[in-house]
Amino acid sequence: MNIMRAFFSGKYLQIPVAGLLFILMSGAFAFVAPAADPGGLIPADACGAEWAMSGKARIFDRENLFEHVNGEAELYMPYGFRSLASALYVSRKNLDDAITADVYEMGSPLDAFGIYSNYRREDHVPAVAGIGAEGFVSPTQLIFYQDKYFVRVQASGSEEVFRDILPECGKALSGKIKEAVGAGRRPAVLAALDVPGISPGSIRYLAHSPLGYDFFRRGLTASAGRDGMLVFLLMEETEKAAREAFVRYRSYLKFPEKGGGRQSLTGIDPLYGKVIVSLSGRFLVGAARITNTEYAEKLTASVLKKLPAQ
Amino acid sequence: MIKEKDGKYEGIDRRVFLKAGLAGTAAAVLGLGGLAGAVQSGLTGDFAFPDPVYRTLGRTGLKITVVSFGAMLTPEPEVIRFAFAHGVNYVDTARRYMNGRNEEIVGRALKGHRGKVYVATKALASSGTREAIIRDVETSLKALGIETIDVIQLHNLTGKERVFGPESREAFTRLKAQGKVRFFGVTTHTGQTEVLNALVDDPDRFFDTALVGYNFKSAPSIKAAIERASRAGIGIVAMKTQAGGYETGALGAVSPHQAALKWVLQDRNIAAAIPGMRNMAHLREDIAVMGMRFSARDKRILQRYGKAIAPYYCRLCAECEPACPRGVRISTINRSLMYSEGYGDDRLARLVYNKIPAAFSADACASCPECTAHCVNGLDIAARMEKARKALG
Repeated sequence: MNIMRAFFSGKYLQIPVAGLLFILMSGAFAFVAPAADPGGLIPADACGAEWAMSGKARIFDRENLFEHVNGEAELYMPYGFRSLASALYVSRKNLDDAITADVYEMGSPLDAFGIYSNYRREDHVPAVAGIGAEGFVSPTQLIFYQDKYFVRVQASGSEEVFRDILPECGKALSGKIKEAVGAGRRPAVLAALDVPGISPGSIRYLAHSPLGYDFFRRGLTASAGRDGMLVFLLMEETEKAAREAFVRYRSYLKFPEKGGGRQSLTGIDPLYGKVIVSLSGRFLVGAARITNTEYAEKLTASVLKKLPAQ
Repeated sequence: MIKEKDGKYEGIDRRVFLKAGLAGTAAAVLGLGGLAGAVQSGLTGDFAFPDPVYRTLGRTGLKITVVSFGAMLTPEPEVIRFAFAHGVNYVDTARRYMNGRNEEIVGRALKGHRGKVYVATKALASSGTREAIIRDVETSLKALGIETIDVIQLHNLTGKERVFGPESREAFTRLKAQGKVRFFGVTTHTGQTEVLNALVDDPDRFFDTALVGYNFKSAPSIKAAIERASRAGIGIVAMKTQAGGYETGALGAVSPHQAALKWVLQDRNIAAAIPGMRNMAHLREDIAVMGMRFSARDKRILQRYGKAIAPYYCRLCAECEPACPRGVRISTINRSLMYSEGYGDDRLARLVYNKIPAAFSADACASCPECTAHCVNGLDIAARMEKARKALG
């Protein structure tokens, strides 16, 4: 095993002191259900009697995740990735048909949603009810998250075989997670973006540099309206940190007409054009890629009203 | 306007340039929001993007920027577009990344820039048949919103077998005839030497490019294989170039990040590097390297970095273990320590440590008067075992 590759596959991921401090400050592990044995979440009969698990479930950790998902491993690290249990199920009828089930343990339910939201598409087909907090399905894969687990079930072979079996696998895996840590609800903060105009399938949680600025630690983004306006809800740990982020962003913007306000502002972002931002407690709420300012203001006002308790 | 002349730069105060770059580095590595913000704000005034520096991508003849864009980690198309607007002309994505969403993000970034940017993507590693590869490419074209992929790559080769796979060759050839792809490439993380040598030894010279993991810690055999492939006309693009992940704080406000990138680019057999860039700070930091030379100062930074991590940096080669009369699982114990010290994950550290049978854990070292195991890389094994015994035992 080559640890060098693991170390160097992450650009800024393995930072002993600063990384630990950040993890502690971010509260990523707060209120998280206790960990289950990763391998125990993938039963041998998860996909029914016609599908045999090939060998045993393999367990990956932060060090060797890249062996399973290649460079994509980097995507998982900011979301507090802890372990992956992966199993291959092969059809007893046709050895060319196979299913890979991957159960990722992430840092928190919000982290699990975050990595899930990286894979979800706005036009996704929701998975059948009862599988995880949310999921989607395609002819060859089923993806969902539940509590702090992100689950990816992928099929290879003839597509028609998998129409029924993928949900069956998903239900079994979801059931195992439920036994271990519970049903898992949608993270409460997501409700703030449940407002008319915002596309529910576009909501994403970014655990690193939302909007592409590293002075923003983490936050939610979503698209709204026909022009793809970007709505954002940035989260800081304290009101002071949110104020600092707001001030930094203000200094980054241009104000062709008047200076930025202390609590809310309208400015020109070099990447996104016109933006509006409001500071509320430890949150920053705003919109970018704005083509209709009135609409943007109305929408962000709706989000501000739904912010969780400070 | 910055111009390169005989390896030097005119039209910019290099001290300002370096200061900006290093401050950005520190901010990114140390995760200091305040500093990062100050840097990003400051750079809007002081920072000037360097003029693009190009190299030829092997026999493709494409002239690509030496610092190109690895898009895998970038959620916002605006960041990628900003790079395009400042001259970066090669972007690398994959069908697999974010379940295809990453290609869509790149596609949005390409709007208005397609005419001046080359696009590289990868078929799914799991697509082994001609039909599956063709389907992947057609899906990629749709997601990217383009007519032609400049470089289509077989993803994650680990040996020579897939280099000679007839189905993938048939698929690529057909796609090229249809005008859907232009050049063929492979990507490799493991077994790189074997893969590169296979590309060179291929009598058909089928593949034009290789995307390889390469950094200042790479084995000499990889460097030699890259040189051989490059001489044979294979365009080499480097990934995993940063080698900057395991910061210790011992270096102060300096990371090896830019130095590591420069180290890679000093190798003229590398056409370009594609560092992953999540945000504007990363982008500016990486782009700033374009045209810079690997200096004695960079060398010192990398040496300091190597030295700083040496006391607790175990390569897990396990070469020390045969010399231990008690069979202590030294590399596994060091891995446990790494989880604790490097990742701040004590739970995982204990999980791994507790799986070691007691007879082979660090406790066994307590009864030894002197450690007979020796680390070829200079790690103080006795001290590490003692630390593990106290912290995890």
